[in-house]
Amino acid sequence: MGVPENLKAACDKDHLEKVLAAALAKGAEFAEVYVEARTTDTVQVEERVVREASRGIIAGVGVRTIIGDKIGYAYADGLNPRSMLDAAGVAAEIVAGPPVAGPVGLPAEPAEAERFSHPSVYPIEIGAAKKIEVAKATDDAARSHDARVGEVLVALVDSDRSVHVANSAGVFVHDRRILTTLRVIVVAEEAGLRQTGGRTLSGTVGYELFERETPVEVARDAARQAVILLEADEAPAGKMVVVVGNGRGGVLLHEAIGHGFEGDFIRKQTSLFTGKLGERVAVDACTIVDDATIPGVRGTCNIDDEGTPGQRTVLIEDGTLKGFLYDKLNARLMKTRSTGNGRRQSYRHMPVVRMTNTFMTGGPASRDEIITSVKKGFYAKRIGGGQVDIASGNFVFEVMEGYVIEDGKVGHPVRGANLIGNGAEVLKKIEMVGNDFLMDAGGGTCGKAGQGVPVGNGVPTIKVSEITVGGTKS
Amino acid sequence: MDYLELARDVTLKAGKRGADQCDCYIERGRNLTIKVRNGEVESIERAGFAGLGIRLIVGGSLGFGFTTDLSPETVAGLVERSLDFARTSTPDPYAGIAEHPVPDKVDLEINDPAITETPLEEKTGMALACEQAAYDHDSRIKYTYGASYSDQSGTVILARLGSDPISYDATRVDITCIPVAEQDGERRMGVWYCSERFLSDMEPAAVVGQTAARRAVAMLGARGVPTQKASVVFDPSTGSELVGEIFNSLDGEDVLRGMSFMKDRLGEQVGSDEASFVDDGRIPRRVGSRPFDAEGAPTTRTLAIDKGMVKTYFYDARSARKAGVSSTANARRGFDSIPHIAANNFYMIPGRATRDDVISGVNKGVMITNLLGFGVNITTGDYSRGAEGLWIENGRISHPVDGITIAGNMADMLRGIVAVASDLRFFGRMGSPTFVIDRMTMAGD
Repeated sequence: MGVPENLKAACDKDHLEKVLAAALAKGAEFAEVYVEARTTDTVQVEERVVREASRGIIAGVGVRTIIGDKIGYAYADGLNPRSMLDAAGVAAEIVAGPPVAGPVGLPAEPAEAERFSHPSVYPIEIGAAKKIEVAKATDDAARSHDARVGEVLVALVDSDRSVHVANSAGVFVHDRRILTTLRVIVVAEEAGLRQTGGRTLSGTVGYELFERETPVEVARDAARQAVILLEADEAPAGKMVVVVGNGRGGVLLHEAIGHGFEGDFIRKQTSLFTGKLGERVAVDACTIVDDATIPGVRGTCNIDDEGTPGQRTVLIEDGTLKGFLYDKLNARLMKTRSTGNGRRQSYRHMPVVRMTNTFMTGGPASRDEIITSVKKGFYAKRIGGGQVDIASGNFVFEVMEGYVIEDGKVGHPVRGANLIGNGAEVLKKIEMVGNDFLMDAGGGTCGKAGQGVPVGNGVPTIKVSEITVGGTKS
Repeated sequence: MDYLELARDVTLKAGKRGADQCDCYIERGRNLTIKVRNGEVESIERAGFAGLGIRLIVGGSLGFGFTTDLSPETVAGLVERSLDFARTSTPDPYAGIAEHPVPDKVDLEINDPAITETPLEEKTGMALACEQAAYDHDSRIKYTYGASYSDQSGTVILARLGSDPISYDATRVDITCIPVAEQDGERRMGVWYCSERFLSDMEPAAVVGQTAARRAVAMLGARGVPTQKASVVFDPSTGSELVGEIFNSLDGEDVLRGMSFMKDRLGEQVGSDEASFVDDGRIPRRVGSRPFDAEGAPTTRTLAIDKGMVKTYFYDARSARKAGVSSTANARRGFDSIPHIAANNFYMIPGRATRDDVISGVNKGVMITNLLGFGVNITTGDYSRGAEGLWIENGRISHPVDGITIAGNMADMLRGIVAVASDLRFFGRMGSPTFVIDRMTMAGD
């Protein structure tokens, strides 16, 4: 059991044409139906016991209507053909206009999206017993790593998502999306002092994810971080040279720079990169790309949630601004083409412009050369969550694993640090780019407009001449 | 569809198929979101929603399933699958469906019929008026990220195997405005919002827009400050974020796991005399009010920190069982999750002084009006967040500042609360007055 049996009726070509016609009935220029059925299993081990072993079935339909730049949206939970038509009627009422031609007919069968990721061990075919075993083995590995490990929290989550997109322009496509994620949080304890470490491994693949890195390795890495922090000092405070670690540091690009390249902010002229196409916005060494086509990475999209194939879009090339990210609506209004970045959390949400896998390409320097070049500074090896103000470009990130750099050497670990700065300024302050490019194995969940979507991040080791480190030690 | 009967049927079916205990939680209702920008409607979204979660226990092991597809085949399949998960899993010694008494009949005024009766045009008008007021407030408001109106009216149903299903109806309405002030190429965003259960309790839409505009304009010309230690004033909006972190530190489950700096602090003085915090699920008309929590425990008022002393932690049924205490009725869940600990209405008890009195007592410091990023570690209490606000010199606001972080340890911050104003305001389920922490590290230039 997995995909609801009523999915076939909901995605019948004749029925979808009726739904599209109903959505256009009040004069919308464009209508789209999004049918989703998702099966998701979760196993959580906490306090050495299985706290949750669950199956979720999320199924429903979203109907969108558009006139000009005005959007109507309605959704219905479940896959009842009647409620799909009702949702279409509601969406039609929202954007009423002069009568228009009916929808273009759909092909008899949906086109199958070209796959960039090729899952082999589908999670749906793996039994609950095996999932529980993997989560428990992860828990055991974290606990046996070090005597100072106290509590361990493990979450093993997989999802298998069937998406159909049909629109009034005759697009009818189907995509199957697999996502497997293992998250570990470890608390280390010594002499009344407690610290947490965390690791995530995630990809648009099935259980072959664990051929990249075993659950035991992920667990040990989380435990290692927690234990390191037990010896950490208070973080320094003030402006200084910052070396950003490869892989996980990519979240800095996503937040501080990537969001400013999203086409909705460009069209509304609210991004500080508005109107800067072709201009130099970064140092020569800086090339930044959004790429939905990297096999198996967390943010990879075969098609986006409007049915456009995923693609590779260069945002900055050798310091020059080359392009922005678009969905269909913003592309049309900006007289350009969608870059396949119209994404949504689920059928309960309308698509918005979102990144996929965003990264900076590698440069010439080795990590050692970069570290050696710093007299006094801060090494942000692993960066956690962050936030940006699009209007000003100001950002803040928390550092999960950070060290001071003294006389060209990585020194003592520090805790509780934040990085605060401005995205546009950082692009001009990148002094060295490493040759150790890495996509982060975990990736993240990007929040925008109240929706979360999986994304990938990557970066080589980079040296920034000045970022404010917000610690407690002055 | 009769959702009460559906919930009951699901539990009975699970019982027949072998569940020792079971509950079924349904959330259903309607919602509406209107977004406007530059005087035009950008989007309108409306939907009816219904989701169901089933939690069951077989031989001490928990199985859980959820779905938005309420067709009989899917629901029946989900019951089987949840039983299968429970049978495959291992026992959790503290798992269990709580057997709370049937909650008393209490009218908390949390359901406003006007929300479904008010026409769409009127609601669209509120969003438009909100944005227009921001533009009208100051000529330096050059554009906006728009304004939005949203509301929801819904029903929560909880059925437990062996007792009658219980339910309540509730509404919520939100207005948000995000204008941007621009001057000499400098851009500053302002955010303000209002959330209530009742339309008639809302701040006028124009006031929301004006407040957002005022906050944006106030930041024009902001500059950095040297790295130093100084006083920090939290206003109700940023204060309620810190209040939320304090709630998290009192989460009984995290305390038991050693994941809060509040561990082993029961009965101890952790804050100054000014620091008192309470959770109250029964304040009439408040956003977090409800007659019972997600496990059916009747809500109550819980004084957690009284004049700096820790009186209790917060519990749901499982963590209470583990700690050997009673639930504080702080279980919350969506249809798609098992219960976890969360606030009802949690707030810092206000003082008597006015906001101006409190500010005039600050020799040198910053009033934080916007916080950015994460940077709060509940395990250690380490707190470091990006911030902007207004510099205070000799008790008077002098100029806006930005690009700083404020950092400290939450235990020190609680001890450092030296003044609390009377201007309590709620932002969702968290509430805070303006208050002063005497010394924090400020990282700047």
